[in-house]
Amino acid sequence: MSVGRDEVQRIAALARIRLDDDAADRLDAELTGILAHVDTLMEVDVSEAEEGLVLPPPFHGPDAPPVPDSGSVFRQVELEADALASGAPGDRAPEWSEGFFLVPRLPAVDGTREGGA
Amino acid sequence: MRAASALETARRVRAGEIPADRPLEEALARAREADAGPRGIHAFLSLSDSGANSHPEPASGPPPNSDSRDAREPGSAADDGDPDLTLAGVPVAVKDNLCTLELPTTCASRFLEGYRSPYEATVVRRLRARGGRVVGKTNLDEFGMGSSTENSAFGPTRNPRDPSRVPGGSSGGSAAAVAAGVVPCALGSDTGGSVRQPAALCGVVGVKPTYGRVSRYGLVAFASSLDQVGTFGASVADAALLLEAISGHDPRDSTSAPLPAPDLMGHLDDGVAGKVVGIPVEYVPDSLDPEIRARMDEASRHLAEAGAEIRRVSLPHTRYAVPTYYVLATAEASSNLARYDGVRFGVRSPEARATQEVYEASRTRGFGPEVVRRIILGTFGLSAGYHDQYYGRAQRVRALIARDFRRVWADGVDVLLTPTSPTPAFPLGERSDDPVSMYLSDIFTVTANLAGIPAVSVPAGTTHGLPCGAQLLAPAWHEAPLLAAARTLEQSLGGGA
Repeated sequence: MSVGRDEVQRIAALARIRLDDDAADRLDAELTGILAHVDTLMEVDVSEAEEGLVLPPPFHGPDAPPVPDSGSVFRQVELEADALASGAPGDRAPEWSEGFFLVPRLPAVDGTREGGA
Repeated sequence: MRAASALETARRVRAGEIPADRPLEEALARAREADAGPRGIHAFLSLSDSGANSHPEPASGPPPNSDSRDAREPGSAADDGDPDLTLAGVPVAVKDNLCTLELPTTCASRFLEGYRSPYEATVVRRLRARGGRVVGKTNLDEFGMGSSTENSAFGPTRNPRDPSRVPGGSSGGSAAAVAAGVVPCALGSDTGGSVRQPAALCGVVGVKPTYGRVSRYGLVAFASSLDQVGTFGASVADAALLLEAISGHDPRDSTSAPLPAPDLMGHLDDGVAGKVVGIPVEYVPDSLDPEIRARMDEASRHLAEAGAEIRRVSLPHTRYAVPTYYVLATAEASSNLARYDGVRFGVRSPEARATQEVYEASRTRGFGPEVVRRIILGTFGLSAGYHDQYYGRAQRVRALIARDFRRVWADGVDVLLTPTSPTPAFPLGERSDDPVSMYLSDIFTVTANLAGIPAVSVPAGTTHGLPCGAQLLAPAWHEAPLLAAARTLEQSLGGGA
């Protein structure tokens, strides 16, 4: 199937990526080529296949690993010293305070430019 | 001079024959030499200071993820001869999508340029707990998306066997570092073949373990139902030694199986006598390069001479594996990479005036073309109106591909033998403008990820004067017999330590 420039732009907006018209046209051609290949999946008889695997294959069916001895996959949470609270992040962030990174304030939704942390 | 084997290096360090820091210093010198100049292979994005990881704990307080196997200093009097230090002094290269404390973690993306992780990946912590030393972080296709390492924002890696050609990808830097003799072993990650394909193209060993065998805590996510950390080695033994050190349950990764690390080294010489080796007809099509077919025929003959029964088998859904993979992997990537928004990660675009603009401007500036292509394809496959047609259907085909393998194992097959790659290393730039052609580089490797099973690529001679890899696959959790078969093949071809 052909995707079309408008559809590429709609998908790009969903993905929060901006495309100029040249980039959209190029992606349209590439996606159309890729989807022609992907469309071979339509020939497969999937009536015998399980729907919506929650976990990848080795985690269900005959190959699944054993349930832990405790009989539960849940574990006790052991609280540890917070890496950022106990040690200075140093060059890992420009600013930090009380275990939190400080980041610039997001511009307001109405478009007003705001500065500072 | 090339790196000594990991086994020999660890033995000599444990015995006190050489200082624990010397192999790392020598590896750093080799890395600088291999990467130097315009014809350098550019395997590394960053290198450790020679003393940087001799102190395993960060200077500023306790580590955020202290492991029961805490990092120790090999070579000191108390540890002399400690058999737990299986990697004592061994220099290891680490793919730059695994988090390290001392070095940046960039995923070869402008988005994460200069990013310093506040915690360390479990695999890195474990290799250091066994006495191993991180030499540096290796180049990759941005976020692991590619088969040639040309999609790195910091320039491509070259193949040490022929610098005009690609090393494969996405773990091309790690494969090249081992092939160039800089290190005896390295860490990579394998989502659709990203350890095995570059191993084949560079002429080294590459292992992708069973999904859930190795912790992914600290591995930057690409496609979470497929990603698995794997190892490279100059020999099967070195790749196995590193894999054994990093395997085992990790409560910090909910997809880590509650199983102990397997005994791989103790079974390496088990051989293949009495085993059934299957050759799936779909992996040796009429269109296969005759030289690759000849190498596969030789490999199966060697396994037969070692006592294996060779049997032709069928995995009928193989031809749907690449489209299935590209629907699922891109869908998962579009979700995983939503976190790169210019707020939580990455450089924020200074021109943005509203929240939405911050996201769009930062993502548009930060991602390279292949990452954009895959995010758009993945978003498309998940979007309203297309979800059932693409994503839902691909999930069902994945289940059929996994069932194909289960049926073959149920029929008594122990190991499958296939080519790793349909071609040897291709020239730099040859496939950059043709995504479908690039995606088909993964045609023989993606099935192991879709089925979650372990697989290894072993050097199997040359085709057209370039390295050729043979791939072996085994049922889930059967890494030990898989690597014993790989070792048999390696020795029959005159390789290995």
